[in-house]
Amino acid sequence: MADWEKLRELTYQVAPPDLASLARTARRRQRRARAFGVLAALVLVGGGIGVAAVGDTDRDTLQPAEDPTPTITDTPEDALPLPGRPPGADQVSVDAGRYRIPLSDTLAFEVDLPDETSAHDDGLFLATEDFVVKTEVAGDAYGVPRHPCTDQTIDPAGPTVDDLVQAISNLPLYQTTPPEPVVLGGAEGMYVEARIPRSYDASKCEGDAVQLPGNRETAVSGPPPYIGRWWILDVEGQRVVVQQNCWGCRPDQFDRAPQTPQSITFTPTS
Amino acid sequence: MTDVVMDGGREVDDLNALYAASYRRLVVQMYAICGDLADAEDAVQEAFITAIRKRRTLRSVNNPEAWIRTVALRRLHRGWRHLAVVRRHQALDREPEPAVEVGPEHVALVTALSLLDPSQREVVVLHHLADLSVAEIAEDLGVPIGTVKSRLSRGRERLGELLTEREEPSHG
Repeated sequence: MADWEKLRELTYQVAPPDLASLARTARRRQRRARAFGVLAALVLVGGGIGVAAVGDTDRDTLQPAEDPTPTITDTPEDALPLPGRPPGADQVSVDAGRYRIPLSDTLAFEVDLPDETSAHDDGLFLATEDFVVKTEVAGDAYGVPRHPCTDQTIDPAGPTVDDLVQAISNLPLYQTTPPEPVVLGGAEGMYVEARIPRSYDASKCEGDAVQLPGNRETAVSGPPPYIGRWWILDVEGQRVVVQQNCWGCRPDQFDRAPQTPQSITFTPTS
Repeated sequence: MTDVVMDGGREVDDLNALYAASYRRLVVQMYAICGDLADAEDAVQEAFITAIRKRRTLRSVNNPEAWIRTVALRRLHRGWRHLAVVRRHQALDREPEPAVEVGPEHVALVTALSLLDPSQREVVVLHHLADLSVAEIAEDLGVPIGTVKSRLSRGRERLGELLTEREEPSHG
């Protein structure tokens, strides 16, 4: 029989942090949320930015890729660095605001993050309530899995944007939209939407999960259903891939989510 | 279990008391549901931060602890959907550091719970560890009472099997 009392005894070992420290975090978030709301409103009014177009929320099947929501080009200047990770922590919680995240020695990106975002691996993964954004330089080693289910070894796709787009479009299992030219954060590239339907049985896959394209050392896999929006960009001569990933989402949930990737801008750092 | 009882008309003006009374047990409840003590602490702390930010809402609810539990549960659900995928990668690099040393006597039950269907596990833990009635669980999770009963019944049965298997290992 289950001994719930033993589990209850664990209660005595839990050490609550000082409530005042949580209150400070709450106050800081409140201030940031207010300030960010005002700033965003000013940008929207002053910059004449189009409001994000929400897609058809009842889509059951893949439609041709639409030009994603307009890129926000007139951005606030006070982008912050991500807060430092506390010792031993594998992630850091981020308040609402605009952040600058290094991509390489010469390139960074800025992005608006909603409240209660967590940043992993120094911003490689930005997990919001609705999705995970993954942004990385896609050098020559960046590639696609030999087979997303049965052989998840990543093979390089070739050095150009077109090489990678072609490799992604040819991936088995993924339902992908026809690639569309796109501009994100001032960088030109191609946009593709990809899905693995809920009905796909991943139990025969490595780790019961389907592999995504990526760099070998940072590639992730996940269980169906999967919806992804991928921007494959040429940023100042460097190929950069932005993935907006959601496992377990319905398309309408994804469409209603904050337009985080569309707020991305790229900035040289040297 | 000591419940923080709040009368409907009485304002919750002492969050400190609620925090002192409920933080630890909420963490253990979340731990039993998610199987990771650090995640459980994160979820409960985030729920209290939300409570501080939404004090007006908190004042209007009959059972503030239940409200905070629901917020923490939502946090866990969200975590399951996304962060497990991120951690699939991160696990290659580093093991999470538990905030509290968890002994084998606790691990056995939590391990068995982790093998249950998540929706059954949640209901079993809320009923047996949080001492919630079937009706309270149905209200908190927003599902019909019949669904809670069925999940509870199946979850208990499966948990019993798992714990029995553990106590009586085969000697083949």
